[in-house]
Amino acid sequence: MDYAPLILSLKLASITTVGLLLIGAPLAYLLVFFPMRGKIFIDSILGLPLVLPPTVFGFFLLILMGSEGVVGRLHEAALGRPLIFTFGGIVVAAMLHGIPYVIQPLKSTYAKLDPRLLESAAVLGCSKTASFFRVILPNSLPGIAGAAILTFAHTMGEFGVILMIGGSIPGETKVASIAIYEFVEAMRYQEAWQLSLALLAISYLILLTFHLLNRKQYGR
Amino acid sequence: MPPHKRLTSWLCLALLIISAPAWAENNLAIATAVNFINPMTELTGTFTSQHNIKTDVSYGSSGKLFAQMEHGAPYDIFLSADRKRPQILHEQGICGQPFSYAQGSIVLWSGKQITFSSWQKALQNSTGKIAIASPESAPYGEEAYGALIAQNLVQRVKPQLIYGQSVGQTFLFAAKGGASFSFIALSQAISTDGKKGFYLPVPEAKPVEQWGCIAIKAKSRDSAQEFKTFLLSAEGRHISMKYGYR
Repeated sequence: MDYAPLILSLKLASITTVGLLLIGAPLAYLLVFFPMRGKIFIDSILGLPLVLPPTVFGFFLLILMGSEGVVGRLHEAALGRPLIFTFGGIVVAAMLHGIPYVIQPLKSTYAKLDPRLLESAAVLGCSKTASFFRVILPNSLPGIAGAAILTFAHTMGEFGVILMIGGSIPGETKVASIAIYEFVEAMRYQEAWQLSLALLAISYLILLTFHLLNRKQYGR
Repeated sequence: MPPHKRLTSWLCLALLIISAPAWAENNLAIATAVNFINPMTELTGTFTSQHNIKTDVSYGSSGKLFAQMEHGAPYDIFLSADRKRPQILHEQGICGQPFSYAQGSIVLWSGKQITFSSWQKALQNSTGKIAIASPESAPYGEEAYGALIAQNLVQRVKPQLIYGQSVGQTFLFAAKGGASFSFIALSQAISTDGKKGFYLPVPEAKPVEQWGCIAIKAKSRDSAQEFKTFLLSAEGRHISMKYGYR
C-alpha cells in the first residue's frame, strides 16, 4: 500500500492551516473591531467558498491560475514558472477555499470577548496592534484551536478544487481524496478501501480532538 | 386539523415530491462515457424523433459509471469507452452480451499552432506540461500511454505529465489551464472548442474500442434493444463518424 497520497494530504493540510491562521487571525480582527463601510460585501465574498460547489470554485481558479489567467501570468512573470499543477498551486487553492472555515469561528470568538478587557487595555495605553497580540489572541486560544482543526479537517478532505487544478501528479498534487477516486475508477477497490479507512481514522481523531477542546472550553 | 399536524402533512407531501425520481419512469436511461457526448446528443435526438422513445443520458467516466452499474444504478444501457468493463458486467450477470459501437482515435492537441510534423517531435521539443487521461482508469489514457511506451518517450516526458480523470478534463487542462499539449480523442479535437486549437494524429496509439451492453434489469428491454439497433445501423454509424469515430 502506497501511503504517499495520505502524507501529501497531511502536508497540504498542515501548511494550509498555518498559512490561513496567520492571515485569518488579523483579518477577522479587522472585520470585527474596525468600523468599515461595505463590510457586508467583504463578508459575503469571504463566505463564497462555503456556498459554491468545489468544482465551480476549482473551475474559476483554473481560469485565473492557468497560463492565460491573471494570477497565472503574474506568477509566471514574477517567478518564471507556472503556479498551476504544482504543490504550491494546490496550497494557494486550498487556502482560498478554506478562508471561511477560519474566519467564521474566529469572528464569533472575537465577538464574544468581554468588551471591558479591550476598554481596559485601551485605557492602560495599549495600541490596537498591541491589544490584538496581548489581549485578543491570548483570550481566543480555544477559538483559534477550533478554527485550526476545522480548516485542517476540511483541507484533508479537499477534493473538487484540487481535481480541477492539480493534475494528479504523484507526490506533488495527488492527494488522498484524488488517489481514492482514481482507485475506484480503476476498479482497484481493495486499495480504495485501505486508503479510505486510513482517511476515516484520521478524520475521526481530528473531530475527537475538536470536541475535547470544546469540552475544555466550556468546562463540561 | 391542528396547525402542527397540517404543517406535518404539508412537509410529508413536499418530501414525497422531492423524492420522486427526477427522470420519467418510461424514459430510456443511458449511461455514456463522456468522450461520446457529441455524437450521443445527435443520436438520441434522432432516435427520439423516429421511435417516440425519450431518453435520459448520464455522462461520466467509464470507471464511475461502471461502479454505479455494479451497485445497482438504474441504467438500461451502458456505453463504455472500453471493452473490459461491459465484459465484466456481463460476467457478473448485470448486463447482456456486450457489443462494439464505436472506435475512437487519439490525437495530440494544443491550443497553440504546432510547428512540428509529428507528435513525437512536438513532445521532444516541449518543456511545458503534457496532459493525459489517467492511464489506469481512462481508456484513452491507457492507449495514449501505450503509444508513449512504444515510442520510448516515457522517460523523457514523465516529469511533464499531468493526469486528468477523463479525456474531458484532460482537454480542459490544455484548453484553459495552460498545459502545452494534451492527448485527447479525435472527436474532441474536431468539436467546436477543439477547433480553436491544433492537433496531430497519434497513429502509434491503438484505436480505443468502445463497447456497450444492455442491463438485464432494463425497464424496457425492447426500447433498449431498439436503441442498440439504431446505434449500430448505417444511420447511427453515420452520425458517429461525423464526430470522429469509426
